[in-house]
Formats: sequence, C-alpha cells, structure tokens
Amino acid sequence: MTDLDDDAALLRRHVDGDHEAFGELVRRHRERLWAVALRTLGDPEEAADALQDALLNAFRRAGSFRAESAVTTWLHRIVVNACLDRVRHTAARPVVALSDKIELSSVSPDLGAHAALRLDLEAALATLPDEQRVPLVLVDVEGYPVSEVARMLGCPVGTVKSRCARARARLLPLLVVDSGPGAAPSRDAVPGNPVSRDPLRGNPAAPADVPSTPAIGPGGEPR
Amino acid sequence: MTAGHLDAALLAEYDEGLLPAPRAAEVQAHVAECPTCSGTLARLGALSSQLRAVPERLPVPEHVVARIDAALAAEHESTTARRGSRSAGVRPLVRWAPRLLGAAALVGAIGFAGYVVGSGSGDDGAEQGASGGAETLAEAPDSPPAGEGAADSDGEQAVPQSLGQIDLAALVAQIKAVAAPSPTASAGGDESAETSGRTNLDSMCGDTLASELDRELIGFAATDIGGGRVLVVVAGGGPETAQGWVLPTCDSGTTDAVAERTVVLE
Repeated sequence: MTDLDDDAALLRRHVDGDHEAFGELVRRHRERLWAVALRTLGDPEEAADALQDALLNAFRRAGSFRAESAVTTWLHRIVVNACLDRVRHTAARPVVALSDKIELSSVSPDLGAHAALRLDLEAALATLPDEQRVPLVLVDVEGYPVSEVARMLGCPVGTVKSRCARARARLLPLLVVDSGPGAAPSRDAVPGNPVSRDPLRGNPAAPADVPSTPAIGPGGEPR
Repeated sequence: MTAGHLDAALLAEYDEGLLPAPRAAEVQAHVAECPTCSGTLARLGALSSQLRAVPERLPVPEHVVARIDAALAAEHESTTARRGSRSAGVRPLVRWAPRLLGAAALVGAIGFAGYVVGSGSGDDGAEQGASGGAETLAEAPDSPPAGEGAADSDGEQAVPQSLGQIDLAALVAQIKAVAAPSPTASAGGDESAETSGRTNLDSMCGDTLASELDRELIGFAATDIGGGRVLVVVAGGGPETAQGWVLPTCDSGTTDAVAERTVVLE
C-alpha cells in the first residue's frame, strides 16, 4: 500500500502548496494516463490535449480529492472525462465521418493471416470510429463495467454492448488473436503486482468470461 | 467472405447476447457444426481478454512531456500569483465583460461596476449563502468597489483568451455577492442597484446546462472565449468546487459547450 499512501501524501502536499509534489505525481503516472488517452482517442495530438487538460484539471481540483478512492483511480477518471469531452466537442469533425467509412467489408477477413499487415493495438484502435473505439477501450481495455460506460456516454447499456461488438468484429482481422487453449491471459490472472496496476484492471468482480457483466467492482469510481 | 459462414459482427453480437432468441439459436446451431465460425467466435472472446492484458503504460512522447510540464509550471505560477493578489486575478473580468456584452446600461443597472453577472435566482442565491457558499462569501476578499471597477474598465487590460485565464473562484464569489449580498461583502449603496440587476438577468442563462448536469446554477457572465458568448457557472461535484462552462448561447447544453473548467473555491 506504500505507493497508494505516497500518492495521497503527494496530493496533500500539493494542496498545501508544495511546488514539487504534483510534478512527482505526474511523473509517476503519466505513462499510464497517456496510454488511456491515446487508446481512447486514437490520435496522439488529441490525446496530448486531453492529457494536458486532465492534468491541469487535477492540479486545480486536488482539494476535492476524497481519500475513499485511490489517487490513480481519481486521475484515471479525470483523464477519461477529458477524453470524453474532446470526443463530444469534436463529434462534428469530418475525421469521424471519414473513419466511419472504413467498413469491415473493405478489410479482408484474411488480413489477419498476413503478419506483415497486422497492426499494433494503438494503430488498430485508431481505425475505429469514435463511437465504437471509446466504449471498446473503456470496457475491454480499461475494465469499466458496461453500465458505468453507458452512464458516462449517456446511452443505453445495449448500445454500448452493440458498439463494443461491432468494434471487436472490426478489430479481429487487424490483430493477432490467439484463441488456442491458454493462449490468451485470463482476465483474472493479470500478471504483475496488483498494487502497482490501476485498480480497475485488477477488478476481481469482473468475471473472466463475461466481459459485459455490469458489476461494480472495488476499483470502480465510488459514487 | 465465404458464403455459408457467419459475419464476425453477427458473431460478436451473439457473443454479447444481443441477438433475439430465435436468431441466437440459429447462430448457435451453425457454430456447433462449423469449425470456421466457432473459431471466429473463440477469437472474439480471446480478443477481449487480450485487450484487457495489454501493457497498461505507454512511453509518453518527449514533446508531450515537455508541453505538459510547461502547462503545469504556468498553472503553478498563475496560482501563486492569484494567492498573492486575488483582486488582480479578477480584474480582466472587469474589462472584458461589459465590453463584449456591449451593455453598459445593464452594467449600470447591476451597480456592480464592470461586472455583468447574474445569479441563478434569488432563492438559489440565498440557499448558496446559507450552505457551503456562506464560507466562500465570508472568506472572499472584499468585492472590488464600484470606483475601482470603473477605473479599471478604462485601463488597457488583456481580454482572457481561454477559460484558464479567468479566476473562476473570484467570479463565483462576485456572483454570490450579487445573489446574496451580505453585510460584510457589499457596500450599502450597491444593494438596490444589485436587486434591479438581478431582476433583469434572473434565470436568463444556463438553466438548460444546469438541469442537464443536475447541478445548481450559481450564475453567469458574458464572454467571447473560443467563440462562446456566455460563461455559466454551476456548482461542482462538492460544495467547495464550481464549474465554469463557456456556451454559445444561454440555452446551450453540454454538447454545445466551447470549454469547461472546474475550480476549487478557496
């Protein structure tokens, strides 16, 4: 628990006027927060803007942090909200319409068989339209319960599930997916030290084989 | 795609339990007999697991690190400057609000020289003052006297280009001072004028946004940040926070917002 305690202590020191504390907090977690922003938005420039907005917001709101959640969870949520803000405010951009036109039919289902053409995860996610990428990243990558993502996006649970399903179908030919027994790590057996990982990802309440179960785990943002 | 095999999107919907029972039964029957489709289904399940297991950290590009460090350093400086001289942080509002609204008469009616602000309503204001707002009001520096505001409006001061340049906390204090004048925060001469100003601006702006967010409307002011026209301030997540939203019109909601910022009220 030392890391978590240290995070909270850093935040308190920042609120108390310590000039170095917030910078240290950022140095600790920026790679994690960057991954969230980049995957959610699918564009490095957008992700940089969102991360900057989020960290400035956190800098100013530090006094409103409540100790019942981990600082990492709090920061994570602020970054996600900044990303959602950007998606909403740029929803009318032509870029969105453009990526929408990349239909699954334009990507050969056999593409997955050609290793040279496979994309890394971030590039593959970037090919998805916002409306599919955002829920997929929040549910599958970040481990938020479907019900919470539905609330964040202001749409029904069924819509989130349906967009995630379409997103998975589109990603399938773009990524190397091994479905052999034991090939994919189980959701319950996430490697690494659970303390150092985002609490959302080590969520023991998320069943391994039912990604869409709307369970609120201990890592979820306290309401 | 080979005829006779099921589309990956259909299988993904089946996997999510989204198909109506008869269709789901058809898919199930097909998958049971078709190694290709059962393979696709298995890979869909594996994809979700793989997504969950991707590295949780990614290297941040150097230029992103640099700009974030710079932004935080700038924020730190402005915070320090505000703490040293709160009233100086408010001053740009004195300049930009009346000029951009172009409603000198309104400003005069409010009696709050230079400020074009409105409270959500008289009742809301009183409630604010009675709850967490009272502390803010009591701790807020004295409202800039009318004379000082008038003098500033003649000076050449920069118009804020972004929401970050506005001292939102100070603005909230000003709005609350208008909404619920307290003996310590308002000079006697301002009160009647403030009342008429409130009448003029009462519930004009931000009701849509406030109800959408389910937050209490604290007040509003004029602005031209990012093409917005109205700065609406609503209560934040806690009693000690407030959110400023720059909107194109008084009736806009969150989807049309130009900018949003949350501040901790000191």
